[in-house]
Amino acid sequence: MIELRNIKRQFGQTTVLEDISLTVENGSFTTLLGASGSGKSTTLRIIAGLDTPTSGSVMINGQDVTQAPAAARNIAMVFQSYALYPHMDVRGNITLPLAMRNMNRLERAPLLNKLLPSARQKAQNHQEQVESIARMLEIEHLLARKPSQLSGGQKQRVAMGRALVRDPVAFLLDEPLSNLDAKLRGQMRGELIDLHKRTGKTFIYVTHDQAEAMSMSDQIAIFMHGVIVQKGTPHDLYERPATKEVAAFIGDHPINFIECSVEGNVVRGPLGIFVLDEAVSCQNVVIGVRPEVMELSSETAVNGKVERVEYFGSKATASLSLSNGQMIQVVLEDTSTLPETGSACGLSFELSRAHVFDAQTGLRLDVKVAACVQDAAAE
Amino acid sequence: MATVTTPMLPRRVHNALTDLALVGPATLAMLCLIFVPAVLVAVLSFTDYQFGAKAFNWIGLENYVELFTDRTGKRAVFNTLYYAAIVIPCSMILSLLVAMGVHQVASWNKTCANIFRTSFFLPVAATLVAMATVWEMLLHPTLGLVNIVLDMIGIGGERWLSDRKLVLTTLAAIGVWETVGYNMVLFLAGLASIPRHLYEAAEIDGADRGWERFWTVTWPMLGPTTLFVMVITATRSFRVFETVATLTKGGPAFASDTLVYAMYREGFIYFKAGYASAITMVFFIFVFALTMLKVVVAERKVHYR
Repeated sequence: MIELRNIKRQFGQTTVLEDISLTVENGSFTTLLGASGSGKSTTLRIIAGLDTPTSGSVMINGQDVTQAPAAARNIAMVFQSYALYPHMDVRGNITLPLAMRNMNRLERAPLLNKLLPSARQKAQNHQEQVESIARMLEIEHLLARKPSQLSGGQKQRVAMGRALVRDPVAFLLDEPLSNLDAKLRGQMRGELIDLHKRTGKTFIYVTHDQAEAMSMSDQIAIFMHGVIVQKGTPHDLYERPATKEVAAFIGDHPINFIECSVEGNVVRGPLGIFVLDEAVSCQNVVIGVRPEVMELSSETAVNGKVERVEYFGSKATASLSLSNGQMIQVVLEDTSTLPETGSACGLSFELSRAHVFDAQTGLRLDVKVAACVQDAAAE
Repeated sequence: MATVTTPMLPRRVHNALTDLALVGPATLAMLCLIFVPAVLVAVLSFTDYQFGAKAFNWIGLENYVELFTDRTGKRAVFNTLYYAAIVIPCSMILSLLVAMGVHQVASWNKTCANIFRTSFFLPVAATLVAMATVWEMLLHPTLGLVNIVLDMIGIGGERWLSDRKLVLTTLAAIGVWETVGYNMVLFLAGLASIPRHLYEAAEIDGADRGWERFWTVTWPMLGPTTLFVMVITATRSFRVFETVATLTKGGPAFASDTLVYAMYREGFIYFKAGYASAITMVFFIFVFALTMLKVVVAERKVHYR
């Protein structure tokens, strides 16, 4: 188990991390998700031991390793740039962590080590381990090549191999897929999930791509401006976002935010008048509705005009303008008949799947939209 | 209405003329100023031509035979190699150490690192002839600071520039002092271009102590720089001249005679243009061999392709 306790990190006057606490269970796949500059990479570096926190502590399996050097933590890391040693072939790259750990300086010395029986024995052992890892990652045929002769995906695998070979406590992956093209990224995503299942190791994964995070993780921690704004399962984050920002960050399609005024439990806005299941104390709320829970409907009154339709094959999205000029996006599951651009449409959504946020603080309000009493155009 | 103007010349001819206009002048200058003189020197080296003479005789390889059999000739070749054999390794090791030190200092104090860098670079920026005069004063057998200090700590001073056994080593030491700054700047640039991620990967892989770090990342990544520094230093030490000319004039008794100084003496004092040309050709072959070594053998090894 890896635990971060109240980690704070400052560079001079700037605070990069503010009170980060996170528990990563053994064998879990945890993703640190956030935009660039949100502190996720710094957190990963602190776990790895490449950076030390200003205050707070890092615990690995109950031991305080805050001041321990990276090598002493037995953690493996895959870098965004792969960081392969360019002067070594693939075999050399994967062998290096083993040699550093198991051999003394004399046994590693070039030429001299040929004379030492202990070095020969260990080298033999290492070769067997390297070859079994290479088989697993399907890079056996590349073992004699230099990194400069490999494609991006192959370098990625070699970097994984170097991480896997020495049986570490956890794998840290720093945006490992961001240098690959879209198709390969999808494939490697699948392979990483398989690898996690097969090894049963702890994976800590840093990314700015919410789709990667959602599809791979057991647990996601969302970083914003140096704090974790929410942590939970992908399902939690999608269904119960803690803030407006989280709701906007998670999901394939950008969520629609509708500003409404509220009195007790009655909400008035451009989509009509709704009733909440409980009264709230604030004056204005924002209702967040994901495009995928909205639909164009002929039963509700007309309240939008279709401005743009984008067709993707399996689905389509329509952008509608409301009477107050706001744009709303709707995902259309049925692509057999698409609405005409410029036509007027009614809008409805699954009430129970709408999120209500305090307009001022952006925090989630623990209420549900219970009913629609009147739609906009009927006013 | 816009009209498309048809060029007066066909496109291909036009392009060819442009190429010629761009490359022509430089090529012409290079032919006139480098290639033709080089060929002339090569031709002259097979003659007994004396500067100002009306005629010359073809004497084949006699000049070269003289250079490699005559005592002074052999001396100059040997001295140059001896000088290079000291300056190349000492200057490279020293400048690498200094560069790593300055690089390290720069990570916690930029100003301090700049002061170090400037002071090590000073010999490169200064006029070597003027600096040689300063060395002459420092190394003076009775009045020089070096011997005064040595006397004070109880070690007898030496006649640095007039002892036949010592003079070449003294010049080599000055040569090291002169080249360290330049090499340091090259190594610093090389160090700065090593990606930080490699050091971090090495740290995680367990190569986090000084020697392992150096051996796993720094040294291999400095490969191209080291090769370049080696070739530059070798070329510079093969053509050592200023310190010889100002401090010893090749003496005492040719003990510090070097190739380029011998070439200068034979060609411009004794006007033996043929013999001086032969020396120049030998010097040229040394440098050419080094350059080929860099291009053919080593370039492939250090770029890891």
